[in-house]
Amino acid sequence: MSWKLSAFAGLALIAGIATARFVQDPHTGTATWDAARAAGFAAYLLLWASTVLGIAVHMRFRPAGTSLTQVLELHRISGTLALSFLVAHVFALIIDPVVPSSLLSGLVPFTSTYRPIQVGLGALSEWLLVVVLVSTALAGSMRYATWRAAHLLAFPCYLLALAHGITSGTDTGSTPSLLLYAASAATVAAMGVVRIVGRGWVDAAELQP
Amino acid sequence: MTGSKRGFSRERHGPLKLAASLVALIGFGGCWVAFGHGLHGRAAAEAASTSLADSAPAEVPSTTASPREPYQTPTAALPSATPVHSFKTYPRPRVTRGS
Repeated sequence: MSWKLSAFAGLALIAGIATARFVQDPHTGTATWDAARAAGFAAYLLLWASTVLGIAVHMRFRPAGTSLTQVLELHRISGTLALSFLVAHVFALIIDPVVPSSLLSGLVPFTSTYRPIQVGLGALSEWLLVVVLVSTALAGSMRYATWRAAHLLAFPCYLLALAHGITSGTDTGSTPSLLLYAASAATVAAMGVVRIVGRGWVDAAELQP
Repeated sequence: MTGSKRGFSRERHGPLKLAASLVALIGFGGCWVAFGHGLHGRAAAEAASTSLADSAPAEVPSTTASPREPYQTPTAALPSATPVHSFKTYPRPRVTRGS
């Protein structure tokens, strides 16, 4: 379900961006550039949501009126949707007529001509997300410890995406972007601390009859 | 997380996931439209202005000590005091539309 929905969303995004590429003015049009920025923000926010919801599931935390399975399913769909928007982000940059981007720089870290280190962080984050999602898709056929180790890569994945957004995003200087990055990072940091400190709470809760 | 909850099998709450996907797509669309209507970041505007300034041929290089001294082409031994930007170092020249 999550994969199918995300694949459909990804195809819709690519179709929309490709259409914009041919509709926009080849010299002054900014539709693909704007789409790349919007898709980058969307992918980051979905990755943030998946990270936060994953910690919430681990802590057995759920908002009032919701079940833990609903939180779990939102965690899953936000993770797969993040990959869809990530693909759209890279696709929009590749087909943009002005930005010198290539498929290679989008897939192989540190090969971009524009801010290679900062863009490379994003490519690394992208591959970590792929590892996390593929390992989850194959979770039924692997040992729990292996899946868990792979799933913990979600944290460096989020941090690399955050660093990529701050250092290579052209909107970082704007106040809304800074507030978004600060608030999201603070949320993950706070929940990460709760996850580490509150490990005993979960263990104790699992012992309850 | 227990073993039975791992992976993408036994997924439930389809309508919830569909709603989440629609919210994400609508949010992306709104953000795209907003960017298209001139909500460009300051850095993008700076990059645009820098690139546009680079393309202006009438500018006098700041390395010229005085108007009477001729401008010398920067060399490895005597590089220019101002960094030379190009389209390779900045994403693209953007001319904001109506903003």
